[in-house]
Amino acid sequence: MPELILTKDLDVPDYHRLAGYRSRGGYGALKKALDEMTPATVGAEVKKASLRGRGGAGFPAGTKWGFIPAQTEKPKYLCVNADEGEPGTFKDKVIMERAPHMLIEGIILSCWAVGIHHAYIYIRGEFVKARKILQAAVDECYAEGILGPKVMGKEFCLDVTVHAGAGAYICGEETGLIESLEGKPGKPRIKPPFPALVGLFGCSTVVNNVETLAFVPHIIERGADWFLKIGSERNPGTRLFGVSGCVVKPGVFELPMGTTLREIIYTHAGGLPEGRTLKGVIPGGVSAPILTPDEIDTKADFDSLAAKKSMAGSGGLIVIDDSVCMVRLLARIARFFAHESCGQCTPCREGTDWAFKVVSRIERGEGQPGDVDKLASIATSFAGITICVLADAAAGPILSFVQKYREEFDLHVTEKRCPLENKAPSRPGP
Amino acid sequence: MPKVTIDGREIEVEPGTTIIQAAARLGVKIPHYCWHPRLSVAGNCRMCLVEVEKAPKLMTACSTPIERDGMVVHTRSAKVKEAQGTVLEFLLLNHPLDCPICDKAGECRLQDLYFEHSRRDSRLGPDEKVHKPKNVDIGDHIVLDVERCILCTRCVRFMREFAKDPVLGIIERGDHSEITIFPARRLSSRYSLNTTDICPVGALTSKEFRFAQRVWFLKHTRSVCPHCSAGCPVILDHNRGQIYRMMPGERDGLAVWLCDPGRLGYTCVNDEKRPVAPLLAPPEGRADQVSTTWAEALAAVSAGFQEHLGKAGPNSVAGIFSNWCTNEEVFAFTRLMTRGIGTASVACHKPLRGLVDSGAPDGILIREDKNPNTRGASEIPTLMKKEPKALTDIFDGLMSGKIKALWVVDPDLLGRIPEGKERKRAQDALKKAKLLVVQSPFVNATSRLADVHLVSAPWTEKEGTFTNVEGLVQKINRAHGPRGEALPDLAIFQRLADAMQINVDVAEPAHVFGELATAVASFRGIKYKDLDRGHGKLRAPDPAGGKQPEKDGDTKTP
Repeated sequence: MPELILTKDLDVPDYHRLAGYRSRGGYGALKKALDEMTPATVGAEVKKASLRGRGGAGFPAGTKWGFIPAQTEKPKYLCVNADEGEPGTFKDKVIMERAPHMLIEGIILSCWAVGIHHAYIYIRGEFVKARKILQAAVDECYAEGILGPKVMGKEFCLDVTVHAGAGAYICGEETGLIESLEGKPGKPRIKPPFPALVGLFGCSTVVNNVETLAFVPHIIERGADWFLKIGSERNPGTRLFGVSGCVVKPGVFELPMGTTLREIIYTHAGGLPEGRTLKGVIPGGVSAPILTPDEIDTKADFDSLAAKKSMAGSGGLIVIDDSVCMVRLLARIARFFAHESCGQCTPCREGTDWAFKVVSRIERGEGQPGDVDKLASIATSFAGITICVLADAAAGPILSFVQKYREEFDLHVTEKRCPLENKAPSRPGP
Repeated sequence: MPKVTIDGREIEVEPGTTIIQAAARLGVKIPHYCWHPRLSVAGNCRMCLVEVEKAPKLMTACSTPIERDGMVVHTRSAKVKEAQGTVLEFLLLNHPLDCPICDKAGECRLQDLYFEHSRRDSRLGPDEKVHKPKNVDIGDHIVLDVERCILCTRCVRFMREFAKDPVLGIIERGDHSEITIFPARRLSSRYSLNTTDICPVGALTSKEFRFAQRVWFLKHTRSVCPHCSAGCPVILDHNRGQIYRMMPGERDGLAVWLCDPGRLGYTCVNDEKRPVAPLLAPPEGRADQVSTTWAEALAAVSAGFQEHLGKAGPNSVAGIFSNWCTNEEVFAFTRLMTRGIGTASVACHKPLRGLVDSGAPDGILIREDKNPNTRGASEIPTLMKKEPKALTDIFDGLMSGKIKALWVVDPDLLGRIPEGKERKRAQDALKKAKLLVVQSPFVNATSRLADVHLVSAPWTEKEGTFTNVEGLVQKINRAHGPRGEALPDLAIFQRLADAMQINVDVAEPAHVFGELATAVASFRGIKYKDLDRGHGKLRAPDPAGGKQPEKDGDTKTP
């Protein structure tokens, strides 16, 4: 079995409580850093470990911290992106519900390294259970002096606020998150300026994903060299893969980066139910372009999936078998993006809903000749010219579905019905 | 300073200048909707995308600053044109295309930029457009058509940033987003109509202008809003002798904002009951004035003045001009009275009250003084060394009988004096005059007392200059008319002088301004024809120490 980092102790009783976490050496990394290291050496260690952001973009966390000016007149902030909203993704929830102190320890270490005295955990509004557990863990830390005016008795003050979102996918975009945290509608900002210079309340801000921060204590405790030995080249460490869809054993699996999609699906997630054959895999949440069965020997890491013109994204694998109508699936995905478009800028506001209307018409058997090309053309048009990447995220599935399953789309138009005989029953959307 | 190359032409700009600003300096127009030179940057319409060499994606010209040397920008490349066509397709996708009944048609940026940059056919096909509320009454002067809106948020930003009354916002998401007003609030700011100007489409329209006129029939005349001492430059939009609306003019190359009361203050000049010929009261009483010819009216005034001058001396004929007179009229009237007629009984009526009450000053635009030329009317006679008398001296003279004849050049002398004792006193004094001549475009309580009502042209039907509170000399122009037999004030001065065989040459504003610029130090160096090019010219500090008008709030004019 490969080495587990984040999930090794999840079965320890009361691991979500301070005592349970401490019983397995929890907050040891923080003690080590505060006693033996400087903020600069903590930052250097994380940078050396090439810890890539697990939120989706894979940007190295250490480099991101480096963009924060050392001396600022105004305060600096950390925003923890816990707005896990990408369909197919459910791995941060596991950390927050079962190892909240690991996240908090990562937050404290990161804040100490960058010189931040207030961190906000922006948690998805629907995560009620996770929020309660997380808040309880934060309260424990205040009670024990791990958070507050003197962190572990040292001359370092840090406050952590848990803030619940109100149910918008776009608030997972870092500037949408910041706007929402400021009390405004979650509409992404124009970049530049990037949050590192002008972020929360106009101050320098780091935005990191939950899973990314949870790795920090382990890197500090065991060193960057240990971390670099795990995973694939330029993609060190393990990753939490959330596997859902047509598999026997869906769930969250911690595996080294670079594990192939085939191994994740067949070895860890139990493969497909008997009698079903694989039709496709969405490798990193619904915004990742779909891969066909002949592409599943690709390594599930940032660079290998990018080379296949898809992306590792948030690590949420959606496995699709031959009972699934690709047109119906795309219609459902297109509906999600149309619904979640903030409506701020023209191409995304108008284009995502138009694409949904066209694909759902094709799905209903009302498609007209030229509709499939039109669908692809709409997606090509709205991608790449908007304020944030939601439009690009919406275009990814449309373009890849149409390209790789073109025949199925065309049949819907020419035969005015779904060609699938043993199609999975339709489930009503939200 | 960093150099940037835009479409092959290089320009040096201040660091932080955006591409759209730098391009404008080169005369390169970059199409846009949400960007407005006087509002914060929103970057949401995506119409201003340009290609910046070495940048991976197209950049919005409105939000991309030029920070370093050597940026190379292309605004007409194939990639840019494709993006512009795409953005227009998306903007028009759910637009109702009700141009035939839309007041904005003809001056709509969506129409204009579509013809300039897209001309693609709609690909919407059988899919239904998104429908939203139409004809929503959101303010005293504003109607909102949500369906036409392209969500550029100019109105939202205007109300927040300039009008300081953030009542507008966006609700919902995606293509169901809509501009709306907070519950239980109205768009009732005194600046609300500016939102109709900056709305690039017909989403926000003015109740006063709705369905009144197609914009392509309108003729445009540059003028100045006369309804407070701020003197905002305006464009009079008119057709067939009727003013249809007053639009913001430009100052320093940028369109100004206007207040609603000022902007709507043109309605009195459209009044159908406005007299169209001089009016003469029969000798037995002042009750029923009847229309007459200029020859008869002027003969009556001339004969009356000559009679009193002969019997009771020059000071028995008095004159009152006002802060509604142009600089030329103030100069010509003062000369005519003091030199031509030889009277010292000349006073200036310059109350704060004007013809339109735009309310208390707010430090934004609106001033306490609701008149166009208090500064000019105060300064010019002083600088001519013809210190006018106080208004009360004239009234005292009338009451004591020393003054027999009075010539009032003021749109509404009594109406602009606060009701009560003060007005009563003025009224009593006017009634004492053996000959009361009122020169005004309007019929009102003052004109009804007149023996002779010399019907003059209002500010939209004559030309001349006003000096605003900051000392800016600005030109008003004749949009049309004058209506009927009405005459510009200067022409009336000339005709009366001719009738009295006084040798002056005051009929032409340009000529009078020339004399004014020679005789009055603070006008020296200003050329009348220059005033047509820019909107006004800031004068040098007054060398004669003319009375400074009261400061009422921040001098934040656009």
